[in-house]
Amino acid sequence: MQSDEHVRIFVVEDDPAYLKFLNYILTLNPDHEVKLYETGKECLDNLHNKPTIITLDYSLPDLSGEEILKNIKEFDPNIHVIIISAQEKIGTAVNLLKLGAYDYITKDEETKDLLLNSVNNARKNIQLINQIDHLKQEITEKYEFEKSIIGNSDAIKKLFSLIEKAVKTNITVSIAGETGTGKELVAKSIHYNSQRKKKPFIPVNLAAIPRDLIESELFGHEKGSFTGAITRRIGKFEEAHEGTIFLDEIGEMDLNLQAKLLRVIQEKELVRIGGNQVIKLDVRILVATHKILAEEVKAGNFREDLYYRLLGLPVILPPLRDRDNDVIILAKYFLDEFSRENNLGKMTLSREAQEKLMKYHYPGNVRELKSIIELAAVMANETEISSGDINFSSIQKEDRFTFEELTLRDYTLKIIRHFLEKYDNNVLKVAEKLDIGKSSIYRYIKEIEEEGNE
Amino acid sequence: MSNIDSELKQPGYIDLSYLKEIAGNDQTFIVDMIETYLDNIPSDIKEMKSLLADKKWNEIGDIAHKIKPSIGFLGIHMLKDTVLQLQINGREAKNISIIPDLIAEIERVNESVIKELQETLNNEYS
Repeated sequence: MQSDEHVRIFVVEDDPAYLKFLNYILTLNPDHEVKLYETGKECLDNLHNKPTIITLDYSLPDLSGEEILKNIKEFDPNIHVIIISAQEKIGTAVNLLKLGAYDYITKDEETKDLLLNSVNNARKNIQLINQIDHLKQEITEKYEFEKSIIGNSDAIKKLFSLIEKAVKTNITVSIAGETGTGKELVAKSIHYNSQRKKKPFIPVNLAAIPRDLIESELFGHEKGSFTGAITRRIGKFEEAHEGTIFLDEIGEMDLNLQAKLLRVIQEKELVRIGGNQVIKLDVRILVATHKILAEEVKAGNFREDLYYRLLGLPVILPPLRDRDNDVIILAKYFLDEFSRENNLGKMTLSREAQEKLMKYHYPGNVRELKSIIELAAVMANETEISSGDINFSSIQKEDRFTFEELTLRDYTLKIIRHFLEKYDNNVLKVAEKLDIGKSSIYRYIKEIEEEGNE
Repeated sequence: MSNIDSELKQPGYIDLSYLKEIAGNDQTFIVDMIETYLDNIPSDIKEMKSLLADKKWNEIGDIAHKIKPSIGFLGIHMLKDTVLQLQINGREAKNISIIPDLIAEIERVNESVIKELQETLNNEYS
């Protein structure tokens, strides 16, 4: 842990008395390794020794404080520079802080306390920065997409090749897919594998924010711009500067706001609500929807111009029922994950359990499969999960055949309807699955249609 | 003890309370600061006098700026305003007529300061 505590500090100061003074108070803490330099050039020439903190006298004989600060920040923006100055002009201080100085301290009776405080704060700040870097690295590893998106069906392989294309550029990506297919996971994979991975990924679910608040949530507001706006607020777009914003359920956005979003995307800048300052933006946009946007455009619920702006590279996530054997791969993955997290030891799926899983149509997709597996792992009495441990509790009515008492004919129609839906109205396939003739299926379809017309 | 002596003594040109507060019982730091003053300030004053002849006001202001902290550390309160004024007048080249007087005042006080510092070194820190 010693490396964590150890801090290398450069002191740059031309006045010998002050140099001694700073050296004395900084070396009071044995964690500090202090190096002394009398000129700006000496300091700059030694930056390769990687100081964590530099205390910099503002007026040195050879170079101006501003110049040295710029050079240090160019060399490594993470070096914390504390300016120590006898100048007491506020303008100078503000300017230096804007240029990236960490703190500004004047030479007076309180210098000792101020400096030690500042150094301690800088150290805490540095620790946090290191921690964040570490976590970012972990996230990046977590979202390597081969690791986070599980499966090897053709549909998923196609998805991988699309994501690979998406990460190479800043193109807008529109992700479509049923609920539970992993739209946010794909968005994260694109961000954390792109050039922007070190910058923020900001997800916004437009369906989860009250309609009246969406505008200020996205674009921010100035203090006092409306009742309740008691402080200035930075919007999600600004938060995502240089990174990626993920607009989930974009289809839920109302038409007024669509106009504003379109302007922000086109101009690459925004103005906070109630403000007049124009804020430049460099934000990559990913959107997702479970609706089919083209149809929303036709229905007049979605602006056509915005639709084309956002369409970019369309990625359609396959529903789990179209992913063949991925069901089993995913089931095993979730089972391993769950048993590891809950110390259940190694668990397996019996052949019958696997067959049962393959037959189901998963209206809730991967999310549903995950909960089915977790429940099965809890219910299982042995380390092997039997078909009896697998329970489908889909909320779709068609699955609850026996919940209500019906005539045999009505049951039959329900079954036919369910299979037609599951196999995209493919009559041949339904006939094969139910092991009856296709003419029977057509007859039932007619009956269903007649029932619908009643 | 010599400490009692110094407390009973008439107020002199220097006031080491600030340094003592910082250094606690660490005498080497105080000695170091006194020696740094003795090593640098007399030659700084000499340099200002020679700059005076060349009318290099700005450089004089710079030196005044540089010696300001030392004046502060050793608590030479009497010179605080003088040095600050010299810095301003020099750097802004205004009221240059009083610059020679300001330097002479610093030199005069400095002579007494040096004597007092040497006494202090001999009596308290030897």
